[in-house]
Amino acid sequence: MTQKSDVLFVGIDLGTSRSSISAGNGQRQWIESYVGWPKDFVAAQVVGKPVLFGAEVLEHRLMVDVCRPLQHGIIKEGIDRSEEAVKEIIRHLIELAGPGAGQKVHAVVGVPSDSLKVNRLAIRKAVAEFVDSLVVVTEPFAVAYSLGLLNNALVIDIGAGTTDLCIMHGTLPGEEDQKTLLQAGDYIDDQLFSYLQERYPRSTFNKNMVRQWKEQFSFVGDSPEEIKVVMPVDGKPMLHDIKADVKRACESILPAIVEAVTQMIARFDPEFQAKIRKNIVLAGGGSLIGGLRESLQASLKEYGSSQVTCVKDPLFAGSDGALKLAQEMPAQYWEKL
Amino acid sequence: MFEKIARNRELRTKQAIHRGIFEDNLRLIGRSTPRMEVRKRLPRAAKVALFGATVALVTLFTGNAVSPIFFPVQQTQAGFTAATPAAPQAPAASQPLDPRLFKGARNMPLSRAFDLGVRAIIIDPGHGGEDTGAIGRGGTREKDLALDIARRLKRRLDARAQTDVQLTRDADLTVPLAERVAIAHADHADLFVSIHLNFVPNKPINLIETFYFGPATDAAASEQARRENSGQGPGMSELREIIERLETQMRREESPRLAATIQASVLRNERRADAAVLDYGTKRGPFVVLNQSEVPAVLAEVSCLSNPEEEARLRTEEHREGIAAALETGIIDYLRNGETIHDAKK
Repeated sequence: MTQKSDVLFVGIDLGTSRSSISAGNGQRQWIESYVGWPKDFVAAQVVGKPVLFGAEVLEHRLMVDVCRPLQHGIIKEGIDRSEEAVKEIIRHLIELAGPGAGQKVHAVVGVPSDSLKVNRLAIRKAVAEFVDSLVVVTEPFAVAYSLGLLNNALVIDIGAGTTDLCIMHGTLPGEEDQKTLLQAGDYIDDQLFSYLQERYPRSTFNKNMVRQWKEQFSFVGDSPEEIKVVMPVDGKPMLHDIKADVKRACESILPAIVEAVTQMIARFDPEFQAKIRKNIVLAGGGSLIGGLRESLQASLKEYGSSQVTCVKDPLFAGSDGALKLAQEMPAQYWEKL
Repeated sequence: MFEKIARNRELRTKQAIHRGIFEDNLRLIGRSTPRMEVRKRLPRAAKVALFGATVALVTLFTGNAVSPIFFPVQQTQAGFTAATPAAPQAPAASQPLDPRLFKGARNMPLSRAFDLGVRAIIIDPGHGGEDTGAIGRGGTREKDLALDIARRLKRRLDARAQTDVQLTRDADLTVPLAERVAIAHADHADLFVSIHLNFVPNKPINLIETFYFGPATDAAASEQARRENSGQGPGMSELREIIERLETQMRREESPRLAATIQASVLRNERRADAAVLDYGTKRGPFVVLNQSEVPAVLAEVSCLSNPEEEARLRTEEHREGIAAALETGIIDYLRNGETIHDAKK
């Protein structure tokens, strides 16, 4: 790692909720995909920076204009500074990776798979400023690449804005091999939020709190423990048991995923269907939902025996795969891009 | 030994994947590789020839409306130029055509076969100004409803992605058909969706139907045959053949696909309000085709103003928003390869 080379390879996973970077120099960093600009002069004085990222944005959210550029898995142009925000995220991530002086940056960027063509072009444009050469791939593909699952595998990447499915069969996955669902982390947040509002109409809580509860307690199937959280009622903090609501919200994404998985496998060459069922990988933040792997495996049982596994490091699986790809791509390709 | 074979196989797979990613990204930035040149040539050829094409005027008579609706659509080249921002040189028209060009395209929307992005959607609220369109018994005017739904649809699409959405009129204005054509042309429309409301006098029914701009007439088909059999040099006749096929394919596959997703979505929405609504499906309609449109273009009859209950529903904001949402879903479904997105199913 101490050896100085003239090119720094980086893999970037541009996620709806978290973005991460893995660099050839051993750096691995992640930030939450939020960008904030101070609202006015006073705010700028208080935060002391022209641009904020990730957790800092949430902390200061009352005094900054918050932008979550890839909220629904797509970059919006001309609306609420999304493009600028993507640029800021990329710039920040590459700064975190710390390329040496005069070192060229060659980047592979993973983006949600169903981004329309125009969208991928927009992301390319946003990234191109900060790197010397650039390749855009889809997120689930990057995950598959990091695990070496290039053939007969199905990757389910449950992110915040979208759940991306991708079948690998030894070639670059085409459009028909990939599918995007909107049932993902944010969807669970919305469900949980509305269930809790229904059940505790007098309590006050916000989306951010709900998201934190989900990240802390999410599960499907059975869980013996109680889930108690503090919610103020008429200003007075009260303990509430939200176990049933968390379970219901998390389980709400299952039917769509099971349907998509069975559909995608059914469309595939029958000889290979069984092989793919044995090679299903869960990635993304959603793979951390307790019991999800078991539930999915059980739901697929009626279609034949299946084997579902979770990636070890969901936060960096995408960027690690992108980095691996960056390092393995032949040099002449990089020169032309 | 076996290990070595396995490793070699993996290496080959990886090489193929690297090559695929490389080509995919080149395509994204509008450059081509030697292997892909044959694909590039086609849109370029189409562009050159379509450049000279005149304004297309399609006159449409909807079968059961009170008055005939005259409707034009512009023949733009946007769809093709979009795919070739940096097409390197003029096509070598004298080289033989690669039949592979059309091999896989049959089961695939053309926009995907040639990676055409959808950048501009033109929404055309029917009628306007002096032309009120149909008027319901309660006095609701088609021009107002069409405009309101169109505005809602634009707002929804705007919030979604990078696509540029334009209305042919954003006020109660008389917009001549020629001008609507000009707007679509100036904005390089990639999709054209016209919003109308049906009117079926003397029948208390509610129905939904979607029209698309029609097929080649017999005259055009014979023209095509004439060209193919002409004694001109092989280069020119091939060029024309390509264009003919492109246009035919676009008309025959793209517009009906768009019409089908819109019809399905609008109908699904309407069924929630009125279980008895009739599905009149997608239709070509008896058009007189002067020239063909190469961008997917449809005319959606999103509701039926002659039905008193439907007219009452149309007076509510909710219902109009619902129709706009259904149109949006229809368009997005089309862009997503015809697969229904999940949240739309509910």
